[in-house]
Amino acid sequence: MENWTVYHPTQQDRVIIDDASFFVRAGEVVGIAGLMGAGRTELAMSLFGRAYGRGHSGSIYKNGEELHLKTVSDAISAGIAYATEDRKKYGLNLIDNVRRNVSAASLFKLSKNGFVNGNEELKVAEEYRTSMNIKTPTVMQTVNTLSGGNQQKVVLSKWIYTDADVVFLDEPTRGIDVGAKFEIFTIVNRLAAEGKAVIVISSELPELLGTCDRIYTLAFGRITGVVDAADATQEGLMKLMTQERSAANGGTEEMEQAQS
Amino acid sequence: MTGTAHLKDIVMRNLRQSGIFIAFVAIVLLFTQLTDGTLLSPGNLTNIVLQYSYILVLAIGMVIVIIGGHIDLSVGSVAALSSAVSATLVIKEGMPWGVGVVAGILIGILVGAWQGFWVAFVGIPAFITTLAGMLLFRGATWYVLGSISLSPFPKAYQDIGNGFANGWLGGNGYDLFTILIFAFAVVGYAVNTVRGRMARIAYNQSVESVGLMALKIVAVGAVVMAFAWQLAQDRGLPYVLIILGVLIMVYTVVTTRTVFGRHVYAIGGNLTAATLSGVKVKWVNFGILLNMGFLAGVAGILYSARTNSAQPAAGNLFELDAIAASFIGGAAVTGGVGRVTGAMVGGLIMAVLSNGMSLMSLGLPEQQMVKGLVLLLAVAFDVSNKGRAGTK
Repeated sequence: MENWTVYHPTQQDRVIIDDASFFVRAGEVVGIAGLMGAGRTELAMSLFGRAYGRGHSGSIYKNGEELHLKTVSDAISAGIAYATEDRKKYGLNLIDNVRRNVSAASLFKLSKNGFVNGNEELKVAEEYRTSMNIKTPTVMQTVNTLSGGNQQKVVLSKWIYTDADVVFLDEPTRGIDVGAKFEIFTIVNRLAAEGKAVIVISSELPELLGTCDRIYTLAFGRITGVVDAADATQEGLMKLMTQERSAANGGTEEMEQAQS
Repeated sequence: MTGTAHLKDIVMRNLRQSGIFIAFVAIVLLFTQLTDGTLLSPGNLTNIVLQYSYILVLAIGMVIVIIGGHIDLSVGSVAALSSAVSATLVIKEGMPWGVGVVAGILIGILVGAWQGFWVAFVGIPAFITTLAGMLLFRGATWYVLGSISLSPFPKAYQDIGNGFANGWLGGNGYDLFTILIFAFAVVGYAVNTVRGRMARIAYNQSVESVGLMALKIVAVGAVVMAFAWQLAQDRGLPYVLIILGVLIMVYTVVTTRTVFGRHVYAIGGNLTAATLSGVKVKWVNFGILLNMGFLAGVAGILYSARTNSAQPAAGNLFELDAIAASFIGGAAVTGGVGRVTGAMVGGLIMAVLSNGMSLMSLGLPEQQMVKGLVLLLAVAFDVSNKGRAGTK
């Protein structure tokens, strides 16, 4: 992705993402670290079929080919997935059951001539219940009865089932217990091992340092730096994450040097 | 996990769905008692079918609109416009009755596309769009009819709303054809239930016990065949019932088994989540309202055939009956929940209430008050039910 610039959806001249560039290799876990309001979610959502903002400019490349993603369904068929940070608001249909939530983004895989194969859908949901260790008596359970961690696993199942090879995970561990956090990071590593490119967005620096190969820092809508997780420290990252806009220009140059 | 769920469990879990059936049976029994059995007499059952079929047609479309999280206030006016256009072509211009039917339905589709455009692509809430449509198309009806009513229609046109498939296979004081059609439907239902159960077992899902399933099939079969027997003793199988039956089957499949149906539930359940799952929200909303327009067109034709006229005031308050039927039938005010079959039972509850009270020679004032209270109680039940599910 290069020179990605996005404007605020309602305030037309307010720049939310300014000239951001980053890249991810297949099989790599990349972190995007930033404070609340740095534009992390906006960055990912605007990439995901322009689900956020307006006046997008810049280009997205996958395997050397430029992608033109105008809608979310374009992005899904291009093999991009975005698991939201706010699963209750943006991720799940809470009044529906596990089975339909898992299949929600990939009905095209389960349907023929517009008709959904309900039994095949059940089978898929059961498979994910086992493989993702979703704790629910049956997949016919409505998701609002599940715990946060299990809801998050439903969200992940939904996006993994789209067969995406570029997966954005926005705050995947928000509001869930330690055991579920561990399971989620096991899943992240498994995805990378399967050759998918995973981008984890988080403000939990220890978690990022523990799972990612490289970490980009985002501050005030600009990418202010990139460091290898091996030689990154929390202090160093925090410094980049809090750079003011005036200083951020220098940061962009640093990042370009790091890329070259 | 193959196991048998307990009866109590099933009833509790499906309270929203089964409660409505229990309420329906209770109301039918109550009015049968109060009217000394007149309610279930052959003639009266046939009348209920003829009088309320167009409300049920509207309720099919309305429940889909409500599942999608919208509301449509314009259906009465749209039905009136459809019947007005049809009547003008058939009665004034002397065209064949088929032309009127097609034109009326086309008008419905056009209106649906118009409202769908404003709701889906301009982003006006359906409440406002259809409130405007209610005025707009009522005005258009007056304009087309010149504020006078048109009648009569040719016999063939009237038959759509008043005719019967009778005596095709003969019978001794009852219509064999009617009985056969219903028997066929019951067998179809039984086969479908058994096959569904076998598929669930093949995919290792829990199923209800064989006994319970058999009981369900026998109960449904008995009720349906009793109904068929009564119809067969009177005038036979009404054409509207065939139309209604086909529509109910088609739309049950559309809402439960198609991608479009799933997307409607997804949008109503959580709009932003649906958008972020790649649902083409605008096109689905457009489709919902287009379909509502189509069904309003059909209802307009049925109504004009039934009353053998097109009137400027036709279809007044139809929208409220259709909306009430959907909510009584278990649709949620917030969207994302509802069933075509539920809306049909909801519509029948309204029909039996009106019809039963008419038989008891209670007037419109009492009928309106009772129907209002029933609607309020049904939604109150839904709200309290949801509160309980939330704390579970």
